[in-house]
Amino acid sequence: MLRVDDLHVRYGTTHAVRGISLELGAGEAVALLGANGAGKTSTLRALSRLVAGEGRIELEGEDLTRLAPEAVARRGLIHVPEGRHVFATLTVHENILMGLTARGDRSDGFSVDGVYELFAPLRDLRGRLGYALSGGEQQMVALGRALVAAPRVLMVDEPSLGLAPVIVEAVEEALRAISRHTALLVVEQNIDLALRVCSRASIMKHGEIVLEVDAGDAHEREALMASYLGRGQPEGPGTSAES
Amino acid sequence: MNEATTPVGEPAPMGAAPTTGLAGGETTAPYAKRLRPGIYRRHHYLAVVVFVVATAVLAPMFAESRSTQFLVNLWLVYSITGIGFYWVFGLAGRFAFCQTFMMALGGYMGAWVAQSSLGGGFLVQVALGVVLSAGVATAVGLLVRRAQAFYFAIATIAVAEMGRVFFSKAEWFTGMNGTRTGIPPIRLFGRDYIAESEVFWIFLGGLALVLLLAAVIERSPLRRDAVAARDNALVAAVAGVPTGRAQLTLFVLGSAMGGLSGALMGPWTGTTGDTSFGIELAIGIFLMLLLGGIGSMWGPVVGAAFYVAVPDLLSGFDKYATIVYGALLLVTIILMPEGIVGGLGRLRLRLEGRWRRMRPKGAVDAVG
Amino acid sequence: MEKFVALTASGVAYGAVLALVALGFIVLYKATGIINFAHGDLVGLGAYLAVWVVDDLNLPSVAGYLVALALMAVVGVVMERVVRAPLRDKPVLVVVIATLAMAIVIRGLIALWQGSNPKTLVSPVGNRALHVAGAAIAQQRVVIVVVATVSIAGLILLFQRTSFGRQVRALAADPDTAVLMGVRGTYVAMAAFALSAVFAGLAGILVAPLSAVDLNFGFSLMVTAFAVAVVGGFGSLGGVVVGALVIGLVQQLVGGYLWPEYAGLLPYILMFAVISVRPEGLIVVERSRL
Repeated sequence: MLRVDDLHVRYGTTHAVRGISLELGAGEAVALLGANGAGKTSTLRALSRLVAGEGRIELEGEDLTRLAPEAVARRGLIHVPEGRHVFATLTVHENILMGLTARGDRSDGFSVDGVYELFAPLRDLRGRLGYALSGGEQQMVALGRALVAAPRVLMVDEPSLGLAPVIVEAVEEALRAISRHTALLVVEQNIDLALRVCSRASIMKHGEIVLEVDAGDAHEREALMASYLGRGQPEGPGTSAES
Repeated sequence: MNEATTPVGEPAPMGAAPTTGLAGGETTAPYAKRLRPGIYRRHHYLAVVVFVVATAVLAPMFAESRSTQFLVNLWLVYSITGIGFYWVFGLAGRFAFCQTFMMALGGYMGAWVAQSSLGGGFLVQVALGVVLSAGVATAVGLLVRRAQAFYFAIATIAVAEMGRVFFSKAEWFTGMNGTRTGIPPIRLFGRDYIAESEVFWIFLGGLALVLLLAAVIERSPLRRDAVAARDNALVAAVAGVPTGRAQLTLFVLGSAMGGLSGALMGPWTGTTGDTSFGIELAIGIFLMLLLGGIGSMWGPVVGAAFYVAVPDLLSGFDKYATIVYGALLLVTIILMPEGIVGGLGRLRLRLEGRWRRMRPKGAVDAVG
Repeated sequence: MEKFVALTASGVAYGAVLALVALGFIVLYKATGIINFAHGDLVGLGAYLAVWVVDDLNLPSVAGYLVALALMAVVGVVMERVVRAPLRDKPVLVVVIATLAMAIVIRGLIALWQGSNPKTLVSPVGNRALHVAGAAIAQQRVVIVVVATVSIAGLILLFQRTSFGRQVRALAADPDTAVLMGVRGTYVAMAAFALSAVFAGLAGILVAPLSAVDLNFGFSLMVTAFAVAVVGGFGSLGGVVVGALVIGLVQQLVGGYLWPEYAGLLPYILMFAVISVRPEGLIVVERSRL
C-alpha cells in the first residue's frame, strides 16, 4: 500500500528525518512513536509533500515523490494535521464536504451520512462554524473530513493531543472503527492508545527509526517502554525540528 | 541584546528556518529578511564620504550637457526621497503609499513660503517643507499606528487621495490649478544657484546630509528595533522592543525626506505641481527601492540612478517608458529579489571565497 | 425632493458599481491572500475593451460586452501566470508589489493601444431617463443596479453553495489544510483571477457610459472600493455590499447637500477613520495556519 524508502527531511542544516523506511500493508495500522522532536511530524509532512523530502514514497506502486500536496491527497494519502485545523469559517457540514475534493472517483470509503453515523454528536452541529467547536468536536470533524476523502492511507498526527480523557476514548473508538476499512499511520504521544489501535509501532529517535515493535508481543512492548524510559541520550534542543 | 533582534539581517539561524507557509494572506515575513548584503556593514560613514567625493568628482566630468546635468540633479533628489522610503518600507516594513504626497506637501509648503509675505530664505523654505511633512506624517502615523500591512497601505492611499483632492481645490496654497509657478531660485550664502551645474552642489550637499543620517540610522538601535518589529511584531513586543515607536519614528523621518526632496525641487525647476508627484512617481519610488535593493541604504541611490536613466536610454521610445518600468519591476521581483546592491554583495562574497563556506541554499523547499 | 431622489438614485447606482469592484478584488483576496493593486486598471481595461469591441469591431453592444468580459477572463488568467505563479513561495507583500508593477504595465499598454485621449462608451439604453417624483434618472443607472444585483447574487450563490466556493473559503481560512484536502490552489487561483477580472471589467463597462474613459478611470474607483472593503469588512461578501451602498449614498447625499466641493474626499475620510479606530477593519475574520 504505502512504501517509504530512505526518506530524509532537512531544514537548513537541521537533519530532521534521517533515512526512514516504512511499509504499510492494506488495512494495516501502524503507529509512529517517539519523543518531541524525534521527527514524526516532519515524516508525515514529507509524506503528504507539505515539506520537500528526499527519498522515495510510493502509494500502491505509484511514485509520489515529485507530486504537489494536493495531488498526493487526491491519490488517497490523506493527512489529518496536528492541531486538527478545522476550517474556522466553514460550518461543520461544509468542512466535511471539503473531503470530497480529495476523493476523486474513489467509490469506497465513508459517505457524508456515514460520517454523521460514526460521529453522532456532529449531527446536531452541522450548521456550526468551525471556530466555535470544542477540541473533541474539532477532532471528529477533522477525522470525518478525512474519511469522506476515501483515504487509501490515513495519516493522523497526534489525535489525542489536548483532549479530555473521555474524549480520547471516543477518538480511540473512532480510530479503531476507521482501521477496519483503512490503512492507518498514527503519530501519537500516548503510547498505550497507539498500541491498542495499531498492530505495529515504529519508534523514532533523532530522525531515525530505532525500534520496531509488534503491538501483540508483550516482550517487545517491554523493550519499547525501556527505550522510552531513557536509555541513551534525551532529546537535545539542537535536534528539535518538529514544526 | 534580546533574542528578537539578533537574527535580523543576518542569514536566518537554523531554528528559524522558514516553516512552510503557503500563499497565506498574513505572512508578515519580511521581504528583505535574508537579503541584506554583507557590504557596507561597518563602513557606513567611510562609504558616504567615498560616495560623495566620487560623485563630486565624476558627475561634473560625466555630465557635460545641460540635459544630463538635469538628470544627475533629478537622481540626487530622487535618491533623497528614495532613502526616506527605504526607512519606511525597507526598515520599518510599512507599506506606505504616501511618499509622493509627502513630496508634494513639502514642495507646496516651500513654494508657498517663498511666495508669501513671509519670504524667508531658501533654508527656511526647505525647513518648513520638511517640518510640515514630518508633522503630517506624525499625525497620520499616530492615528493609524495599530494598523498592519494592508490596512496601513490603504490608510496611506487614503491620505494620498485626500491630498490630491485638497491640492486641486486649495488654490490659495497650491496655486492656480494646483500648480505654483515662478518660484524663486535657490539663494544661499548671498548667491543664486540657477544653472544645473550650480544646483548640483546644493543637491549633493543635501544628499550627503541625508546619507549621513542614514548611516547613523544603520548603526542605531532604532534600525534594530524597527527591523525586529517588521520581522515579528509579536515576538519583538514581548521582548520589550518599542515596536510602535521605532516604526513611527522611521515613518516620520522617511516622510520628512520626501518633504525635503519635494521642497528642493520647487526652487530648482521654478514650479511645483501635482503632476510631478503622480502615480507614476509613486510606483517609481517602489521601483527605485526594489531595483536597487531593499536591504541596503544604497539600494534606493542605485535604483534612482536607473529610474532616471531609463527614459534617457529609451529616448525616442518615451511612450514605452511606463511599460518598461513596470516590466523592470516585475523582472526584478521575480529574478533578482535582492536588487542590484544585494546582487553586488553576493558577488563580493563569492569573490572573497566565502560563498562556498556558506550553507547551500534551497535546502528548505517551501511547497507551492 | 427631486434632488433627494436624483442623489439617492445616483448613490445607489454608484454603490452598485463599487460593490462590483470591491467584490472583484475580495474574491481574489479570499482565494489567494493577494490584494491586487492592478484591479483599478482592470476596471479601466474592461471599459477600453468594450469601447474597442463596440466601436472598432462594430459588434452589437451587449454581445460586444460579453466578448469584452471573456477577454477580461483571459487577462485574469494571464495575470495569475505572470504575477502569482512565479512568486508562489514569496511573501504576499512581494506579490502585491508585483501587482503594482502589473498595474503600470496594463496602464502603459492601454496608453500605447488607445492613446491618452478620453474615450466614450455609448450606453445601450442611450441617454433616456426615467422620471421619478420629478427627478430624471438616467436609465443606464437602472441598468447598472439590475446587472450588479444579478451578478452579486450569482457570486454569493457561487460562494455559499458550490464546491468552488467552499474551496475558495477553505483556502482563505487555512491554505495549508485546504491543500491537504486536495484543493488545487493553482486552479482555484486562476479561476479567482479570471472571476475577479471579469467583475472588474463588468464594473468598468457599466460605469463607462456615465463618464469619460481615461487612464485614471479605474484607479479612483479602486481606491474607493478599498474604502468599501474596509468599511464592510474584508471578510464577508454581504458586508461589502452594505459598505458599497453606504459609501455610495454618503458620497452622493452628504456630498450633494453639504459639501459638494469636497465630496470626493468623503470615502477616504471614512476609510481613514475606520482604520484609525478599528485597525483590523470593522469585521475580523478568523484565520488559522498549519
